[in-house]
Amino acid sequence: MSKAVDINVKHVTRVEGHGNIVVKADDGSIEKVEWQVPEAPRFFEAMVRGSNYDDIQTIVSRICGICSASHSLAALKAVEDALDVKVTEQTRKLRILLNYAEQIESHVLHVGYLVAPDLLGVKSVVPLVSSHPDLVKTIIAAHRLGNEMMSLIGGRRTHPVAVKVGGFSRIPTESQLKDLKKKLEDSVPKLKVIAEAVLGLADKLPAFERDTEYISITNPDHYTFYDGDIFSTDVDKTVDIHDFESVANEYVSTQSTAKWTKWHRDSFAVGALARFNNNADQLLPLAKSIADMFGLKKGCCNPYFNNVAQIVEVVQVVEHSLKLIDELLEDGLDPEASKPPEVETKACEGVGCVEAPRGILFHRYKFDDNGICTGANICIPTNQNHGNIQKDFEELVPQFISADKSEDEIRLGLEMLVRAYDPCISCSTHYLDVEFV
Amino acid sequence: METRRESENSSGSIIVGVGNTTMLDEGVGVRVVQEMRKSGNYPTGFEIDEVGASSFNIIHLVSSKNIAVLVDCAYMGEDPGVIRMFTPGEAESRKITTGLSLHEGDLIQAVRLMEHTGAMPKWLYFFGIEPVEVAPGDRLSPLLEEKLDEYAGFINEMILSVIRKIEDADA
Repeated sequence: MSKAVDINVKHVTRVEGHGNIVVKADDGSIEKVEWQVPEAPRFFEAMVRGSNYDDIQTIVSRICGICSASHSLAALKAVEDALDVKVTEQTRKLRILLNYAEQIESHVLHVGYLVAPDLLGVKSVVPLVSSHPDLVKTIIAAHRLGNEMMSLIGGRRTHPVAVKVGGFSRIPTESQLKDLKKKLEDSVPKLKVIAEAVLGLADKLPAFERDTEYISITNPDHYTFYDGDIFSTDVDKTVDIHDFESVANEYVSTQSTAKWTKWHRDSFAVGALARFNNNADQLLPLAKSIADMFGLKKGCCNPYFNNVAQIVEVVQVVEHSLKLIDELLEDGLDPEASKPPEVETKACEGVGCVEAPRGILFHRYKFDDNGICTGANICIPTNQNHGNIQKDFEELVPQFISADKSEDEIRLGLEMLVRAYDPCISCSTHYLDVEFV
Repeated sequence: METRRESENSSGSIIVGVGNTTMLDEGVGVRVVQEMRKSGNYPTGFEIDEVGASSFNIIHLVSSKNIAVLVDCAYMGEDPGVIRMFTPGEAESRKITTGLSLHEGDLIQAVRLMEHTGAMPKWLYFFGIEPVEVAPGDRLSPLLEEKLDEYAGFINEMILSVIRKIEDADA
């Protein structure tokens, strides 16, 4: 081993936001391996201070264009937790459908537009139109379905406006829900086409495994994205979401402007693979068949298989959406049941948590007597994955070098690893909150 | 200037604001279409919509439309505050694509995807607005804020002009 490796990838392409990959090695000796996040802070936790409780979700949904509904839902749940606002079962189910719309949109966007080009050896999805026209059209159609579902439930394709504290400003009609159900049913064969296409390329996913702590929410009743307690593959007991800071343990890394996290080990992973590893026993039949098709089993520690878990989850949320719509239609939609209630303000504090497409998302807010926000803490999934990406790098780079991979092969392997985590770096920057006395 | 595309079943027309309203002037496209919606200063029969930073959503909004208009923050080498109208072809040939907002790459990629899948609107136009500053912040620079009415009026006039030309060509 005599060659030198000098990789400095500024701004990994095709992920939201900016990140750098730095590798320096000489003669088999590794001098530096770093996953850096240099993006500027965005100050959302400061921005919401002084805002009314009712405006929080509107503001924080702008944190991200891809997972805006998750931020809205986490914020609403935190506000409702603080102000003791209870929502009806109808509202809860409609919100889960909104979350599912985002999972479909985001996972399909990621697998179809960002990962597929890697697996097919091209630089973007555009060249695939010539080589795989039907696949690209199928991906666009599946993404469109998520888009339409988001628009129907949330009132807009992104940054939902219909969701309110305690309910909805408007809900879909029965006819609209029936139409959505038909589209979801029609999507199942298309999703199988996407799954089979990825399966045909699955041998291109690097065979890299590193024993990892996986964290997600869990619920004894179902494979959850919306409600549950915090669970880790490392321990048997769950943690209440109100104690999320004791799980995330955010800290500052000198190589990043974003905070990093750790719990039982130096790092942990969140996202589709984490949810799968913690909750796979609760998958619905069709989703389980897709997991079986890939040979994906609980305990998988190959981070590249996060993409496979995303495909499984798209099928899971479509399957569960069909059940939820049936239940909503059977019970009969009632606008009054989702009408936002009168809220009595008080000095209070609350926590909300949902599974965003990229992993577990926490929001905490404090309010004064008048319902004005006096403090916020938002802990996003991409930040929770940064430390794990670094740890993967540290184990993967020596393997690449030992295998005498070229610099280009190492660069591509590391870029693919970062993309496998589906990072949304533009919404992950999170500066220190200091007070000078 | 116009490049007509044959697109089956094209129907309806739309004006879409593109951008991130938490990055100062990057969100000017969204702010302009919000202004147009509020004032009603846009051609009859057009939908108004907006997308944030998720540029691929544009595909679903504009594909197979008759006329689609995208309004976005654009680095064009102009003085701050200048608005320009151009087609995707012009932007490519003049390399303007390398400076079209923070989400430029994705937006152009989305347009290319539509071209290659036969989903392009029959007529597609960009309105680019040169920013003063793109940085974290939830408002526009004073210069662009003052010009919102002017932008809305200009876009309205230009679209009406395009409609007249299309009608003349079809006559």
